[in-house]
Amino acid sequence: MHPRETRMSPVQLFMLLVPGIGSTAVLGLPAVTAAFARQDAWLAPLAALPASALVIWVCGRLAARFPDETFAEYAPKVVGWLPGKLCGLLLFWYFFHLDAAISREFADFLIATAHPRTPMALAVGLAAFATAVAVRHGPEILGRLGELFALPAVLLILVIVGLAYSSVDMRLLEPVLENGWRPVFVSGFLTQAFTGQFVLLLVLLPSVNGLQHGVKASYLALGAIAAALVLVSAVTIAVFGPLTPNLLWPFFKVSRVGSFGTVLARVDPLVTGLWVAGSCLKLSLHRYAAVVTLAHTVGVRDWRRLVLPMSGLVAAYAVGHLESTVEHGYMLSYFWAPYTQLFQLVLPAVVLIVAVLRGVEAKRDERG
Amino acid sequence: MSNLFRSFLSWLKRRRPAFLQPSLDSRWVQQAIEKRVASKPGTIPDKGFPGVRMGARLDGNLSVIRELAGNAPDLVMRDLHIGAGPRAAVVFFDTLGRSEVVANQVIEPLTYGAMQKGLQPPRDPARLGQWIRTQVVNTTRVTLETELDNVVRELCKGKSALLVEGLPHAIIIDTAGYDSRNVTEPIGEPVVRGPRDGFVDNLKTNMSLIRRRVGSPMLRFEWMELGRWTRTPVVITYLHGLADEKLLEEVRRRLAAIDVDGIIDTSYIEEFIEDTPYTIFPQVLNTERPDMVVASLLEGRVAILAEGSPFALIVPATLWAFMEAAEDHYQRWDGATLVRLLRYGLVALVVLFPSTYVVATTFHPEMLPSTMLISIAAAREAVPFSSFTEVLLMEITLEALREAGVRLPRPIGQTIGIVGAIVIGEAAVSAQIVSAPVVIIVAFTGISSFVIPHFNVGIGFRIARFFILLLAGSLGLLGLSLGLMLLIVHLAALKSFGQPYLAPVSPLRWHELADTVVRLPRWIMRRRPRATGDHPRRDVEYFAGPEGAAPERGEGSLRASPGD
Repeated sequence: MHPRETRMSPVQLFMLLVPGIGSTAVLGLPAVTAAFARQDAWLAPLAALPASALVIWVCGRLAARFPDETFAEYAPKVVGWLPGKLCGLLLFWYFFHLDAAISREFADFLIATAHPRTPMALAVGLAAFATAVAVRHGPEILGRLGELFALPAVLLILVIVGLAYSSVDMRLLEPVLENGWRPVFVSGFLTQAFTGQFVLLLVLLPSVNGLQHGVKASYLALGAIAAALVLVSAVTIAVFGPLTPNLLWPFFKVSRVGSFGTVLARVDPLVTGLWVAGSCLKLSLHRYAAVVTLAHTVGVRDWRRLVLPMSGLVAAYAVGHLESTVEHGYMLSYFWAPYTQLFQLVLPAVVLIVAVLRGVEAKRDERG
Repeated sequence: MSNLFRSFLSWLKRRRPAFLQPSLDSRWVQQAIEKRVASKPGTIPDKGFPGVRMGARLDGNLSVIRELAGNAPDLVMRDLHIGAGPRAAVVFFDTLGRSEVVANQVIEPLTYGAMQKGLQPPRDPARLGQWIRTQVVNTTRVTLETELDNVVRELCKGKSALLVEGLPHAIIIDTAGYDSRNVTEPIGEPVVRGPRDGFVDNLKTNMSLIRRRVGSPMLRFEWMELGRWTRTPVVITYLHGLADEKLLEEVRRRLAAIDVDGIIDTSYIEEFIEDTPYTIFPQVLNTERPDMVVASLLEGRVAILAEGSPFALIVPATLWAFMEAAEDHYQRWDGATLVRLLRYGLVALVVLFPSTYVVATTFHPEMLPSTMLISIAAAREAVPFSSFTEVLLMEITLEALREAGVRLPRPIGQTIGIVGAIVIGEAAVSAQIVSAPVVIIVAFTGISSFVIPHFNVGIGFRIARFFILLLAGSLGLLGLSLGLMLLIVHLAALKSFGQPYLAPVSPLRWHELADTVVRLPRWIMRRRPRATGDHPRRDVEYFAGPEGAAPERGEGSLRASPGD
């Protein structure tokens, strides 16, 4: 079934993107950005806003030219058959690699915080299976899952912040802009690796009812994610101060600060549990994007058949492609941001520029 | 070529004159029927006797009907003479039709009454039938049937057939009536406040319970027969103009596709019309409350009733509909909302509480406050099993107790309670086979599962509980979250007659949320839920008042009275 045949409402898209992109960023990002910007790391998401908005704009313009097709379908029409197919494969590789990276981070987190003796292959494999089940139901169900998860996800952040409130020391955020804007922009570039994941829209927009509203919902989702990241970074730094860059998942550590007194001594297992659900949503979203992009590149009519094998490949790659958590953190800090920009911004922008220059767009009658 | 030939033959068959059509007057036809009854009776419910007409000779007709019923002891064949004229016979099953009705309304006017009034039966057979139907017989429903199949079918429904010598039809007179249970309070869905009548096992009564609640002639009953052998009358009911046409088409299509030997209860139908048969969650709502059916019809849903079943099916159904009790709509909205929130909280406990306990004690003891942790550890000290085994054992015991309690006759049922309370609860703890916290948790989930208003969705949640318990016991927190995730994915993907199972929460429909997890005041629910297609708007003002002016709510204003 082609993505355009399922209909997702803009509200669903919004509620899908917020937990679907924000969930991993919330947990680990403050450590990465605080390494460069120190106490100013909470400004990093704001610095990343323009570039991320540019990603959405590019995806929106491309979708306006080809409203009923995914990237892998119209790229050959724009840049020629072979380069177009290559573009499709590149985008597939991005989704695939990102999916594996998320799986890996998921498993690392789970093993480090909750289940030290669980084999990584089991954790990754189970998550891959559970998400494969969700992906096989198609984008409509993913949208519905987003609706169910968005509100609890936001509530969870607020609860963690509220519980940690007594440990918050606002003076740790000072001095503001001690070293000027430069480190903020560097960490903004790192944040862009997360917020630039809006490149998902290349695959999602054909399923959305009403293109303009879909793009608007994406901008809103970006705003919501940026706001959440600012809040999370600020609270994390206000709790841990200069310690933040040394922590692996600093916001998770924030959740360890708070408790519900005599009812629940620690909420962090609860956080882990809910976060597993959130990252499953993110996993399935990228799995869907990867599978659809590959199917449309190589011309498989029914993308559903690729879901299970692809999940197996993702799991295998996730387990095998990195030696350790340390390597993963190093990759995120130094290699990941410029690498993902190639796919998130450069690839669609090049295709868009070529499309504008050559004046390629879907025929009127195809637009229906 | 052979197809062409066959269609030509069937064309010929259809065009042949009446005297060439097989009728019971012919000895050959009678013998063929007798032979078929003797040798291949299994083909008769499927195929019947297509095209065979009633004969004009009374004896032939009677002998064939007697043969078909196998000389049934309850088949009554009463010979009579109409006035002083032609011979006739009334045929009916006195187990289905009422003998006194036949005697008073049919036999008496035909014989004694006609003589009394000096009515002369006309000689012409055609006019004779007309005369009997319009002037003599007293009952309200009288029809003419020509085909043998139809006559036999009507007989089996309790109607009487009046066969007259020389008349090649049967006059079918509705004299059906048999004993049935009185309308009583529904046992499964009692209310403190609200209507107290429930469906019975008689279709006609059930239809009347619905009809008397809907004043509009737009209430529709569509009648069909299901089951090759039982030929159970099944009725689709809906409000014309509210129910979506596509939904109705789908209901008709799914019902028409059912091909079974018999329909004993509407639950037989339910299994055939579900969207997803392989799931633990029911997708068709059942109720024995006519008020609930009417409320559903007003929401544009469609109900299905069957003869012999006091349960109506309602489609499409959502998870929220299964979690609704009729009472919610009869109590004030604030109380109803509180009860509903409680219900959903308890359902979450039914599914998650045992597995959360296992996860907390086995994998994440740091979650628990130290005092609670110490008391649990003390209780578990001498217990030989892991907490997963403990919980699983106790859950199975609970299910066993529940099942035994349901099946036992009431006087013995109390024993089960005593055995359960003393042996399982007290002795097992003091013998230190299970720990006290586990007994508390299992008992609590047991109680919680009773707040689910519809039994069948409760079974679904109970199965989900075991599934998640197994995952949690083996994979800890990861298993718990993945199990919950899979459950939610499954629920989000389920559909009932095209309606998403979790609608209107997911997909989100704001204006329908007023009657899901909460129940907001009735005057807020201004729009009908959409069953399938578009948004119908309910342009009804609940308070009588001048046009345009919004009625004052609260304040108890006089304008709210329907009198002005």
